[in-house]
Amino acid sequence: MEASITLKKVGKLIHDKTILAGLNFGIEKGSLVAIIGDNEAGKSILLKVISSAEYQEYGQVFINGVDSKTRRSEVVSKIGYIPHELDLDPWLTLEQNIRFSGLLYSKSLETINTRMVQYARDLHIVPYLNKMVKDISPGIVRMGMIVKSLVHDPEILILDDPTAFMDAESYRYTWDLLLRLKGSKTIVYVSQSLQEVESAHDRILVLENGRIALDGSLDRLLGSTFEFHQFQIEFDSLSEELFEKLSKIPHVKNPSRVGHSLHFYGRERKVFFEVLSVAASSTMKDIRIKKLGLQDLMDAKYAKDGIH
Amino acid sequence: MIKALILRRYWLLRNRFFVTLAVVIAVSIGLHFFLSAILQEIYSFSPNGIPFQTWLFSNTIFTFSSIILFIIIYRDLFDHQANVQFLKTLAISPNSKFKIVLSIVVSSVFECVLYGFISSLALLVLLPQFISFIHFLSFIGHLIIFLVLLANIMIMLTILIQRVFIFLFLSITFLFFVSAATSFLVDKDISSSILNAIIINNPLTMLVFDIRMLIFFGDYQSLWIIISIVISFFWFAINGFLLKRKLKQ
Repeated sequence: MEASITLKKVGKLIHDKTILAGLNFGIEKGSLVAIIGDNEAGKSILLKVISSAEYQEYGQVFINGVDSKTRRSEVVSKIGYIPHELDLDPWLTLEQNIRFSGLLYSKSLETINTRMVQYARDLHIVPYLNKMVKDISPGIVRMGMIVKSLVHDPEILILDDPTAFMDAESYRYTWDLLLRLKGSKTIVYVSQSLQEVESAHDRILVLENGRIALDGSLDRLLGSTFEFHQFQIEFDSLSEELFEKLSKIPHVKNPSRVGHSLHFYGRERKVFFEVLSVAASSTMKDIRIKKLGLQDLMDAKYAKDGIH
Repeated sequence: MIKALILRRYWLLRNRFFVTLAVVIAVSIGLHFFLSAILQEIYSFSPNGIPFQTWLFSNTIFTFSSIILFIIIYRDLFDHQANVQFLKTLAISPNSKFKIVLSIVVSSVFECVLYGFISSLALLVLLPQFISFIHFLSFIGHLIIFLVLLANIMIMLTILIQRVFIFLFLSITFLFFVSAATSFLVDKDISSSILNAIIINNPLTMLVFDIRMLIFFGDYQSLWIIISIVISFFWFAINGFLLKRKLKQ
């Protein structure tokens, strides 16, 4: 597959502090890539660097093979970028804001209006188009920003928390549109919602201190947890002796107790039956089994140390 | 890009048209007559035999337009609550920094000149007839060059200064200087020699004196206009460079 975005040894400093450190990766054309990470991991700065909103201090960013520093105008006309903050003028209507943005990209008013109405219909925000931004809720403004970023028909969409402030319905409309655009446009987004990332991605990049800590699809990333499951058994009474006995079962990993509950990890469900068999004489109140998800992966302990 | 910014300013004006129009006319007329009424009592002589109210006309419009220009540039480039993102929106568009500065200046000056034009007409209706149509067009031309220079200074301040306190302090102080430089409150003939030297030898003042000479004595210095235009072009380039640095692009 052809690369849409390529980063070569990209580094970014802010006040002598390293925000991005030697990033090397490519993003395929038409793919949907989610970037996650802790606060201050460098996610928003990475989006700014990719979209040429800010230049990197080191390395190169290529958009469709074109260097973003040397041929900036060519590059930015291919990108639609939504920053984390609401960036529409509160004293203009939603449609005036969108038209203004389209005009900055030298599009005709006719083209802008056609695309604006089309995307506004998809997002169900047509009734809000002629309202002042200051009188609209932030969730609707956010959808307006998505229309604004699409109005010049970019090949690449860079979205910093695209569904922030949105209610469930707006969230659904937004993702219906974005998933429809996937394939014809490359979409890179940052989200704080791991649920959102789990349900919408081709690839996930986990950023940690300006470096890529993990990279791949959810299944591939979870593969790095060796198909572990998390088990939880709540006993009527969990004695120290029983806890010790259960902890020593060969395939039980990272056992811990919370009150009268036993928590442990195991690669196969078989281990769960072994534990049940050993604990059969004790009264059990509740049982839970969960396959590890993105949340567990992001949990520092397992992301950094793994399960021992 | 210039079209986009002018349309934006037009939409902003249209969205609050009647309030703006009323404020522009009322404030310009009020300011002119209030100050001329006071200053007439202070100045015991009438400059060159020209009635003081008439003499003050060009100064009022220049100062009034300067204040509006300051508000527009502050709103677009410095107001963190309303429009701090405006510059970022421009910055991620496929336009050079020089073009961004040029477009901001042109669109803000366009709006200021419109207000200046409306308030001039309002004042001219109330003042005794003293200006020909050609002189009025020259007056607007001088106003445009004056505002382009001033806009570049204001934009430079917004680029260089991060803190709102410093920005407002310097800008307002500068506006006082402009009012002095345009002889709005104190005519150069009665200023101290040091202040007089500063006032006479700066491009902003050159333009104000030049248009007054043209309107009242039919004489003008084309060199002053050329100097002001050349300085403006240099300033565009400097601001474009500074903006590039500020945006880290």
